[in-house]
Amino acid sequence: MKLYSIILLILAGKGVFATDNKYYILPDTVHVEEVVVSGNSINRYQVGAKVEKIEARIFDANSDASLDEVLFKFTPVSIKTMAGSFSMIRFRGTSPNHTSVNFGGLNINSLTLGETNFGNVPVYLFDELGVQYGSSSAVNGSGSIGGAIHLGLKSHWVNGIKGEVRLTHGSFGEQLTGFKYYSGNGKFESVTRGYWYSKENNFTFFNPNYRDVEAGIRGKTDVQKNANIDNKGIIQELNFKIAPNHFVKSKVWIENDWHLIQQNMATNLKDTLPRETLEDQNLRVWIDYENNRNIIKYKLGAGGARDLSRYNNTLQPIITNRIESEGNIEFNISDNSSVKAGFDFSRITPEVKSYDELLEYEDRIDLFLQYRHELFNNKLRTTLNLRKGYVTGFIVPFTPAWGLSYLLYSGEKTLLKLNGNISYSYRVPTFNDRFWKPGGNPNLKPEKGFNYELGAKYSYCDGAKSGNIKLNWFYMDIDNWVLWKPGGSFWYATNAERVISQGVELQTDVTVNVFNSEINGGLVFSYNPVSRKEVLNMQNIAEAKLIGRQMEYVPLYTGSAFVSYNIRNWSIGYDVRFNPWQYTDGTEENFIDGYLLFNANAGYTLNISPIHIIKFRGHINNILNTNYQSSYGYAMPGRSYRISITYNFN
Amino acid sequence: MRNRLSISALLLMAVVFFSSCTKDNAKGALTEITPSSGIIVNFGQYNGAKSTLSFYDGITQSVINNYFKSVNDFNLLSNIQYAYKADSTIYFMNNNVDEVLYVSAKDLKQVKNAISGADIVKPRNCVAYNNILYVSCWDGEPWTDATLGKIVKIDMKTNTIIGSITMPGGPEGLEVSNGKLYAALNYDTKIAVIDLITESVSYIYTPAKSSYLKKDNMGNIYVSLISYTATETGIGYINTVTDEITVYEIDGVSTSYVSVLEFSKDYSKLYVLQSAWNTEIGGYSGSVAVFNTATKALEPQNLVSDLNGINGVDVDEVGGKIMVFISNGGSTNGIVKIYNDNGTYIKDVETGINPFMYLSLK
Repeated sequence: MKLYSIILLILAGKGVFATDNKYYILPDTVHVEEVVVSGNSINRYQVGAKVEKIEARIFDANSDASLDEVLFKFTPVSIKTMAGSFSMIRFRGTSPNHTSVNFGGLNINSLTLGETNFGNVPVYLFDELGVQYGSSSAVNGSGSIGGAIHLGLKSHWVNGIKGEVRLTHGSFGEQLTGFKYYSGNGKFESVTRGYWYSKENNFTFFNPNYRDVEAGIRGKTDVQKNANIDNKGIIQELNFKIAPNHFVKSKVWIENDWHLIQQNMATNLKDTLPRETLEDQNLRVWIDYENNRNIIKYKLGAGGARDLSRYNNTLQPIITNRIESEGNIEFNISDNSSVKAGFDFSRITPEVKSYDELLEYEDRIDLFLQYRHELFNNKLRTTLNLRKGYVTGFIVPFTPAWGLSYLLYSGEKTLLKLNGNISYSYRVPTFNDRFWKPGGNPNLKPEKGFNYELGAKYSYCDGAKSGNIKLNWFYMDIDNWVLWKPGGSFWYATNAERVISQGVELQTDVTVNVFNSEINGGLVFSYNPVSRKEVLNMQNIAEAKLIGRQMEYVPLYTGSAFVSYNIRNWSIGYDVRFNPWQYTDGTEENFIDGYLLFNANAGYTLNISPIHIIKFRGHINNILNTNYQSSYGYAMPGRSYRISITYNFN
Repeated sequence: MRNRLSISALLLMAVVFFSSCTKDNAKGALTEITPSSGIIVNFGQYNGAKSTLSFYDGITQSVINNYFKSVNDFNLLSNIQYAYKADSTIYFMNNNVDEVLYVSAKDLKQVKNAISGADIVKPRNCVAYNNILYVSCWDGEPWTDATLGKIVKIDMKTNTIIGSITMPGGPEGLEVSNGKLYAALNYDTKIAVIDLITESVSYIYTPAKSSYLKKDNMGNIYVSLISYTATETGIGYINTVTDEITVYEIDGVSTSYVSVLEFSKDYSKLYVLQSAWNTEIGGYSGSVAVFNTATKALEPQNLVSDLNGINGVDVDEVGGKIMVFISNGGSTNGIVKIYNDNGTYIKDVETGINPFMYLSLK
């Protein structure tokens, strides 16, 4: 029975989302619970929160893509992109700067703009991807109002060397060259990963903006110009296993991303086209010392980042520097309860000409306390998080969170678990919001969120078949939403809106094993009404009309489905994503139409010998050559292919 | 249970797909253009939906939005920087896409392709004189290269480009008086004066950068003097016979587009758009100051004060109503606040995104 349940849960975790990486044993069953990214449990102290990890097979099959593409295909999050060169995430209807993106102990969001360009995050450099839905500021700090993304690197502790080289070629001049090289002696490990991605992005599309008024012609086939991408990066890890559960791990990520800012379809028709460039240079360093061998576990981390953003080769780029450290200590009070306390500290030094000259640096320190308790033979689990942040010259709200999960039913083939979570969240406005001259407002209040989450997960396994159905309801109330408003001469930042985001997310997956092959499939569906509850000026007739209306660039529904078939060394997959029409601004006239995108992929693994493996993979995206927009007025690629060959040696 | 839920989800997705893939876009009504009619120009979004025109009925002070599309059945593809009426033609200085688009003032129908090409780069403003339309063009990014800029000449009979005058410093507002073309320079502290016979250029030096020009009923010119970083702002008064300037310091003259200065119907007042940091709201708010053109002094009472999002002031020269444009940001429709010429508030009317100027169709 126990073994059967273990199998059940392990198989159940083979959908798109592997929520189950560690497990613990109850008297008659096993509940795999924790989501581990980079060796750290994301949700150990966030019981009841919706936290998932993109399943390894999906991750691997899509590792040529950038992060926006993977999230768009396999999660219910909304992505607004400009042909892949600039992509913004909108998690549960929140703004792009309401999602934290975590690498080591660093949130890599721009400190000046508050967001990450998901088109600049290559999946290839990472081993795993954690996706956290809803507010998690009590754990992740400022900015985690709508969600959080965790970019994970696994420690392999190789004894010897192994590595891989990948070459990818795709439509519209797409090229990716990547490598990973691992060397070590089982205790010491060096991992080097690098990639170079480029794309001309000169795709063909139907341009409805062409018009020859005199000849009565409207629309023509056009080729996108000046939308090139050229990104490259390298991650170097040096890890040392002092003893089991006793590590020092370090990583350095150097990234250089360049792209031409895509021109809209109307401008694309002109012979003399603007050639605006945006270059981002990032240096991110993090080192962890972790000792989990004793009753008292502790972890210390330190690092820093330097982010440079340069528009059109300007001699005055936007630069921020930060040093950061964190530490925590964890203690098992009893067999069924534990407590963790810690701190995060950062000093941020901006180099931005448009900021107040008196601004030299800003210090931020967060103190937190986490408590976890298990009851009724571990069927009921609860966690409490308390966090208080301090920022130079700025008041940060106290941020608690409380979560609960309960195993309602555990049978021979099925499990039913209920989850709930209540959490506060906040975001310290960006440096631009507070210090840009003119218009920055140092007196802004922090954005505050309040999130309710309820979920149920049903798992089934009868040996040859397994599957999960997950249903989550959420309600989020975000106040003091910061917007820039026109002020007569200058735009200025102000706490302008209160927004309510609520909805339902349904995710299912099923795996069937037949005749030594595996069929895997699933559905992802979300319903997400998001609307303003308060606006800056309630007497303003145009602004007041927005109250209650669906927010811009947030589809009311999304749906996606996928299926894959794996037999021996072959795999084929097929996925579809549906977006309905979306508002693109506060008017009723401007919107982008809905669309349905079909994609397919296939792969073959050639085992030359146990130490030499070659993997072939091919993708066809947008099979039906659908003409669609993700950002109003900007073209998106039609049908495209991508093929890759990866040589692994061990 | 699993199968039922999966089937339900599939059905739900199918329903959603077939019911909400596209949204109907309602077509606006058309109306008769009369001498009391005009158009409100809405800048739109630079990176999203572009400019729109709102038809204004001066009798009822009502507005029909998206009027250009209603007439032509297609949207504008650019951000209108300035609109100008010359005889029976309206010219639009369009940015991103850069072009000079023209329509009939009788029905706003576009029947000819816009004037564009390498000579029209970031057109800003225009003025007509002797059947030539002079168009100020930044010709690039004058904030990075102040040597850029020119004034393009368009033959209004053929609507073709016939030449240009080099004009560094980011030429902006234009006026013609006494056979001379005056060009405000947005990236220099001087105003260019071009002799329209010889095309020789001289300059009037100013204590701040200049943006827009407004010619009074005597042929002299007022200019807005603005600063993006300092407090040295005001208006200048150019005697177009001597080309001497008298400066009147006024705080916070707006850097907004176009409708920063406007005369009352009888030219006795010059309305000046101001903007200043308002500690009470924690942001910028604006007002419309009243400059008495006879006494050359500000009147003690503003026309309006403490307006969020103020974006321009204009006067319906037929009905005499004063319009104050309010922008609610780059993605929300704006409003026009309408006042009697004595400053009595009449009503608010919703426009398109970022309204900034009014053009009479008289």
